[in-house]
Amino acid sequence: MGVDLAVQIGGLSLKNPIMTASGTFGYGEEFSPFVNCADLGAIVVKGISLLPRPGNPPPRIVETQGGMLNAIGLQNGGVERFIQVKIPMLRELKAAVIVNILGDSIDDYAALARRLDPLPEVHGIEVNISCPNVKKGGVAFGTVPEMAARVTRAVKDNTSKPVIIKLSPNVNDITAIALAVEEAGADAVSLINTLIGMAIDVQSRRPKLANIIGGLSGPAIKPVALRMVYQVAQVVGIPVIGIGGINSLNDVLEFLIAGATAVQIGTANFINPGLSGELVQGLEGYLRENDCKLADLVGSLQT
Amino acid sequence: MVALQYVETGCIQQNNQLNPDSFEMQIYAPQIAQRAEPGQFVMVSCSEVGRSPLLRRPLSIHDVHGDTLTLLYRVVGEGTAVMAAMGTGDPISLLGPLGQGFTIAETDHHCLVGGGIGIAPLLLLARKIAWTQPKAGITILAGARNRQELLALEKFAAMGTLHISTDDGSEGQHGFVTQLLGNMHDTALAVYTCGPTPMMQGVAKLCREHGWGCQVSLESHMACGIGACLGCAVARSGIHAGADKYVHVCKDGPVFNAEVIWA
Ligand SMILES: Cc1cc2nc3c(=O)[nH]c(=O)nc-3n(C[C@H](O)[C@H](O)[C@H](O)COP(=O)(O)OP(=O)(O)OC[C@H]3O[C@@H](n4cnc5c(N)ncnc54)[C@H](O)[C@@H]3O)c2cc1C
Ligand SMILES: Cc1cc2nc3c(=O)[nH]c(=O)nc-3n(C[C@H](O)[C@H](O)[C@H](O)COP(=O)(O)O)c2cc1C
Ligand code: FES
Repeated sequence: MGVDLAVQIGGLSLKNPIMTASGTFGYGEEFSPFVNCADLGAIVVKGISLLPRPGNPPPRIVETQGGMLNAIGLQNGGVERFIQVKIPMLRELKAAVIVNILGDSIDDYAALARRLDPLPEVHGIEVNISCPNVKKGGVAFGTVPEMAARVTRAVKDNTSKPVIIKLSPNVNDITAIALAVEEAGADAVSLINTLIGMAIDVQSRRPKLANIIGGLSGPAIKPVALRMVYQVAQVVGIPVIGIGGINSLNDVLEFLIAGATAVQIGTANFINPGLSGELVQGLEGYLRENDCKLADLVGSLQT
Repeated sequence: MVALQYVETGCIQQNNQLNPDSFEMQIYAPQIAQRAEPGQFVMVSCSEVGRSPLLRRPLSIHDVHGDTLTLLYRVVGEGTAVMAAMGTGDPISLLGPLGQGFTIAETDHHCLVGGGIGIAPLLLLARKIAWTQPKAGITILAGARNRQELLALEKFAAMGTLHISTDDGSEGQHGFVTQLLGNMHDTALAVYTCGPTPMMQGVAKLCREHGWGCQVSLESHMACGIGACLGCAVARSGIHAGADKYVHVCKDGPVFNAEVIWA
């Protein structure tokens, strides 16, 4: 007997709660030697902007204790190239595809939502209001509740697809942002994006990233992510998707217990490109062995 | 089309120290070894998942014998130090074979130019040239800071004509390996190079002047090795807008025609 792993994220029905995080899973095809993307709850593709972006000069990544800093600079070929080149490949993968979008202005977000809305291959939209890498980009939207709400409304007004707002951890009170976007109509929130950090080479006294600062991800951020997921899940009624440093079944379970309905695997894909598929099986095995339902786990923290 | 790439737990057969900071590791890893092409690389896990160091480290495939592949590496930091401490019989997780390797030119004289540890990917290349073009000449130019840092010389000597240079003159010609290349006078030379960036730029410049084809094997910091993170960007030569401004070493390379990078 199969265990029921299905979850609902707003209007989105997913096979299971294991998703991949934007920017860490390419456009899916890069991982096809290692996972069957159709077996995953969903894949979230690399962030797409209206126009192509070259990204930041190298070095763009550096390892730090228990994590990595990245300053990719939201490199992407723009929405038109995405539709032309990537959509046909995504169709082949037969996966539930969530497209991560980013913009410089509210109008950008609205236009992206409108452009993606008619595409049957796109199952949902995740809105990056939190990327710390681009100087004039996301930061402001994700740190001010009213701005976050305006972006949410702009996207919701231009698409009938489920909209997930991806929250930045680089704020004073993440629950205030979460409540603002829920109020504005978000179908779900996902968190966390990377924490802003930096690293210095002592010998040269130069920053290790050309961009000086970058986003921290990996096991090092898991406790922060878990805390934020817990706090947000306490206050919102919409589903919460947990992200941050997940690299084992135990990590997945922690996020579910903290209140996440689903999770996204990020940096860990780089180390074990087959991990997301293994976690689906692991979770299924866990539920079977412990004779429990997914819903019994979510938000089951005993305090 | 799905690329033939594997996450394979290999078994270390030997891990020999060659000089104070360089090692040669032989790994039984049939899936990757059987498919490895010259210039391709593997991402090596230097720890358990989630432990330090976190990310895999890129290393060129130095040699292949049947089901066994060889890595030639220099200890420069945490990951390579962990590798140096591994021993015969230990498991090691590899991701590969990755990237676009060397394209063997149709010519009768091939020149392989290696600087320091950059010599690593050139051995398998020499073997493939000898195998596919048995009549073609192979010249290997190996440069290093000093005699101690010259690696795998006997193996290269068996593949063709070997010339050596050292920065301090302790072996071969005193000076840089580019000077050895400057002594070559063929018109139809195909040049393949790997080493420190300034050296490869020097090689590329000479090739441009002589009209020789030149392939360079680049390095960059990598997280995924499979084209997903976009971390390994290197600027292309010329002016390119948008997402075409950079190439990605793991997927578009590590081997590039020199003019793609330096015009
Ligand atoms: C395609 C490719 C093939 C390679 N092949 C070989 C090989 O055959 N043999 C070999 O010895 N090395 C090779 N390298 C370089 C090797 O990947 C690095 O030396 C290694 O990752 C260092 O890891 P570490 O943990 O020991 O050092 P770290 O602690 O990560 O770093 C130590 C120092 O080395 C620098 N460094 C780290 N990674 C790189 C890198 N990729 N390129 C340049 N500098 C770096 C760091 O900035 C730091 O200053 C290759 C790199 C690439 C991209
Ligand atoms: C190399 C890299 C690129 C990323 N690109 C994006 C992006 O384009 N859009 C986005 O919303 N998040 C991006 N992220 C953030 C991740 O989706 C995720 O939120 C973060 O890495 C935390 O999860 P992790 O610790 O499991 O990696 C990126 C992360 C990394 C490491
Ligand atoms: S290392 Fe990730 S794209 Fe090249």
